Amino acid sequence: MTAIRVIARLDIKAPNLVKGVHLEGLRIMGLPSDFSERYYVQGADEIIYQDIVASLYGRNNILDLVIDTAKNVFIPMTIGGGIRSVEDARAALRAGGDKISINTAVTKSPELISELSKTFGSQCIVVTIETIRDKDGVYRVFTDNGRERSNLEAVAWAGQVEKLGAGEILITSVDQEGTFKGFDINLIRNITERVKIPVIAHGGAGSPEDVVSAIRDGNADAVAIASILHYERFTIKDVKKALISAGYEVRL
Amino acid sequence: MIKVGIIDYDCGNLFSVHHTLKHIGAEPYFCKTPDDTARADRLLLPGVGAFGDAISTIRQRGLAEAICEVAKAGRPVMGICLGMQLLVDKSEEDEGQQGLGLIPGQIVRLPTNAREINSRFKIPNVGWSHLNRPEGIDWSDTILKRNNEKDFTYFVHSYHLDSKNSKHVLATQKFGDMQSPSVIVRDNISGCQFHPERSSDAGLNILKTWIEL
Repeated sequence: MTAIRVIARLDIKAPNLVKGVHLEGLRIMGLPSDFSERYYVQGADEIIYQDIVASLYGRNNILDLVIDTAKNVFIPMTIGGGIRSVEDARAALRAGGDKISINTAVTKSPELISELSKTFGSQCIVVTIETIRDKDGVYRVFTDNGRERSNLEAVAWAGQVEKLGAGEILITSVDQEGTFKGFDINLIRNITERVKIPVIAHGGAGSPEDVVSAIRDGNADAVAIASILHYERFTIKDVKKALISAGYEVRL
Repeated sequence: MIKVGIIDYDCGNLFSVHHTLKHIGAEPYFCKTPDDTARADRLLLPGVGAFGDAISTIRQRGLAEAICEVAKAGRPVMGICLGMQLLVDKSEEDEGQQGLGLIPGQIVRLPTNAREINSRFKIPNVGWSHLNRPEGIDWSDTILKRNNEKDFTYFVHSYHLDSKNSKHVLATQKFGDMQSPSVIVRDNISGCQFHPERSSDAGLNILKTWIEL
């Protein structure tokens, strides 16, 4: 039985951990490795490093931070932001990442998903879908950390990335992200009904009960949480205790 | 210090394995050529990727013979995830290719019908599962001697060892209504379907025990 995963998500603007609302208005929180180590000790099941300025190389790049973190944190790390090619993915894995997450590049060249999953195995490829709900109720896919609107519709796109060889989908509701108002359960359910691969719900967690709802009502396999951890409203353990009370198995 | 040769066949998370081995006090280094394996006290075959590509790269580099020689000399060899799958005879993932044949067995796809039993059993199987001890199996004096059945380890895979006819299963994980092999051992050869290097204390304990063998 695979336990429900509680994943700590860290948005990085190297060398700092940052946090915004709706992926905007970023506030510097501190050193990513300090936060990762804290979440590792609390019992996080995975860590996601998302480089929000997509600077894989050059001075102050995210890969140096990954190397630092992987030395002390012995749970899976997913690296995302700015991966545009097989070589970029390899660089992220060489730094100590276990999986990579991709968004912008694959909306432009979907075949990159197949290329990456053929090279590294699908289990290594997390496709991130950032979405904003249009007035007509359609979930529109955004790229470039929620800045650029695409023509893709999120649920159909989820089906397509699964076919292309994605191993997991991380679904971000930009509307809810950073608001503490709870996940967009309708969105999560639409995605989990569409695909058979694992789905990670992200965006909006304000309490452990919100996480339970994403799992129970949205049928997500995992959640990625950020603000409630960074601002110390709750710990990983608080979230896991709520999941246990709701009858789910988690790793303590 | 124990020198652990990590077989480098350009697979995924080579470096996270390296970081972890260093942390537990081993001296890890990468083996790209057969010569590199000569000074290893033991070999670790990591794994992320596809069976066919992996085994052909290993053969092209002459590493297949080198691994088998180390194994024959009685030095410990451990495979992780895909690395474990490469230790056995063959895999459904690529039927044109033979594995290393160090442990008898065949790799098959995880059963998709598990999904009908409980929608949370998905493929790839990603996440943390308990280490289960099959009946009649004793973990003392094995790489699991520091572990117990409450331990969780981290899996990410779509294929697994077909446990039919296998006498070499030391631990299993529950997948749907079946028990899927998670640790296999035959003499000095061992394999973990999960990633001990990313399985927090439970995984660190397995690797610590392994480097003391």
